[in-house]
Amino acid sequence: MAHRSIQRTCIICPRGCSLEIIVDDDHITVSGNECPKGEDYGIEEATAPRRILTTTVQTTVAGMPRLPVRSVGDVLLMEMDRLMREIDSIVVTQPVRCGDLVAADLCGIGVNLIATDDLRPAGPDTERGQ
Amino acid sequence: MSDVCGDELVDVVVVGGGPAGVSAALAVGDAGAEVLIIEREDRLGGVLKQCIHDGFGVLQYGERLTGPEYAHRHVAALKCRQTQGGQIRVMTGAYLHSLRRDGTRWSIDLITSQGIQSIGTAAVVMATGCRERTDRQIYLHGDRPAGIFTAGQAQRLINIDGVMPGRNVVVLGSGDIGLIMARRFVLEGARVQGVYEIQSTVSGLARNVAQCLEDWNIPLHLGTTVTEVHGRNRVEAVTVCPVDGSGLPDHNAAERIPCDTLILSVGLIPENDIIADLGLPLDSSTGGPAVTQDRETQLPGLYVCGNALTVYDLVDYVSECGQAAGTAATRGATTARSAAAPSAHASAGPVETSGDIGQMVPQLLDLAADQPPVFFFRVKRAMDKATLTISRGGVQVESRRLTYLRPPEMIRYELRERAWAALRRNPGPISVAVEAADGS
Repeated sequence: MAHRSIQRTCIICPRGCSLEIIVDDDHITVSGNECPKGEDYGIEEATAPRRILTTTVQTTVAGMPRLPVRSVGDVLLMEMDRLMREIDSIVVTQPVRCGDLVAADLCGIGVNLIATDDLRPAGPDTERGQ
Repeated sequence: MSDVCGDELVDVVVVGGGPAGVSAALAVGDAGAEVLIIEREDRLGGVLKQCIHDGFGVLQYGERLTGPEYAHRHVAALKCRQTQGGQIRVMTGAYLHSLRRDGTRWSIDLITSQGIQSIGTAAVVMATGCRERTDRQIYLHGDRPAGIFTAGQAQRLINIDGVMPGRNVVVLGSGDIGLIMARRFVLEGARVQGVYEIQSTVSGLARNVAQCLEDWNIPLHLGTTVTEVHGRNRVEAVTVCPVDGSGLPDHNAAERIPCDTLILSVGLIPENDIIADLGLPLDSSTGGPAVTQDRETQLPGLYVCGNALTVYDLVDYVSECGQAAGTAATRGATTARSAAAPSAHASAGPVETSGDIGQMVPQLLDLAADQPPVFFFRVKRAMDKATLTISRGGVQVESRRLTYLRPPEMIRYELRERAWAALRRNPGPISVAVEAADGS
């Protein structure tokens, strides 16, 4: 594997150091960080950055065409595109509650998706100006 | 066909059911008073409903929630309080038309699906949030075809309605919602050509630059702006130009970028049109009225909180602000019932800010309050080290070292008990200053 350089903004604290991460065959050098936390962050970013995936899925429930969802735990950034393509085919047809499982083991890599909002047919559950 | 109902009386009315409004209502409920939330949409939650990304509630709940999850917790708390006998009512699909002082109370006119309705109350908490600056407000040149959206509009279209506003996108402005939407477009398979920011620094938070732009290789062009929009029916291209130090575009370096969508993330404006009609001057730095630490305006019984007061960076602060307003409004409402309303302004003094403070709330301090105030402020420029000083009549009561101050980040500073006691005791004008320390 060749020499590779990555620029990242450290997000550990508000200072937001501009990191330069140099990846050689077997070792990673981080520069631009003002503290050791930045080095750890830089190494993680260069090896296997992980993020929570948040998106929406299609529903057939009247008045709420999309249901917001998230991954349970973080997923590899490089898997996001593949996960998004699979999520594209999900259609929720029944009411669900915030926190309910929407899809399990996406792409066969153990990623579970949960609802981040209630999905229920449109209708006032409060008074409407009477 | 309007149906004017008789005047209904409520202790406290909260206008807006987003995080500030719900927090305010919960605080009123906790204090045992009766509260009515007026919400124009069908559901509570405000803009959180469309903010499906995570990062909300880190301070309040110690978790990185998505916007809808944060709103869900708020609404669950509200419902829980209702079942415990709390007098919290919610009216959705209702618009505030006007409000006016009526003797010792406030009179509110609402437009609802049933017609016009009037409500009388001792205290009003405005939690109306903010709105986005549009193409008209930034004097964007060129055509006005379809395909120009604010970032928040695009967010609603994609996340709530499930409609893609376009496939080939240019983002103008580097506000947080613009950065978040740049990533959202890419995740949904659209192409984002770049984010163009006229200033030399990003206006959004550093974490959003990292996780929205760098993660997805979206180019960020600082010191560059869109100078012209092209397109007959639909956006076909935009012209971008670098700007010089005084903000003037260098037309020789203009570049035409084909695209079908222009997303604007060029600032937020606190929503205060209705109270501006009451003759309340707005603070030109925050865009909201001047308030005490109780979020009470100079009109007794009128409170403003959340992003209507000043645009916060974190929802946790918005909720804290709402809670302060709700608690104070309850106190105001219950004392107004028993005696002639004593305004906190009788004992309030203005706070002067200086140095590198760009904006701050509260702008007034009620010196009769026992509890020390909490200041929220932003700085004008990035500073690695700075000193915050608070003084009255030239006597310094507090001095604190602050590190890594950045203009997009709001700073929360809670005054210590001893400093507050000294501030209350000393005579003279109150001032708060932030000065860069050596080497900054």
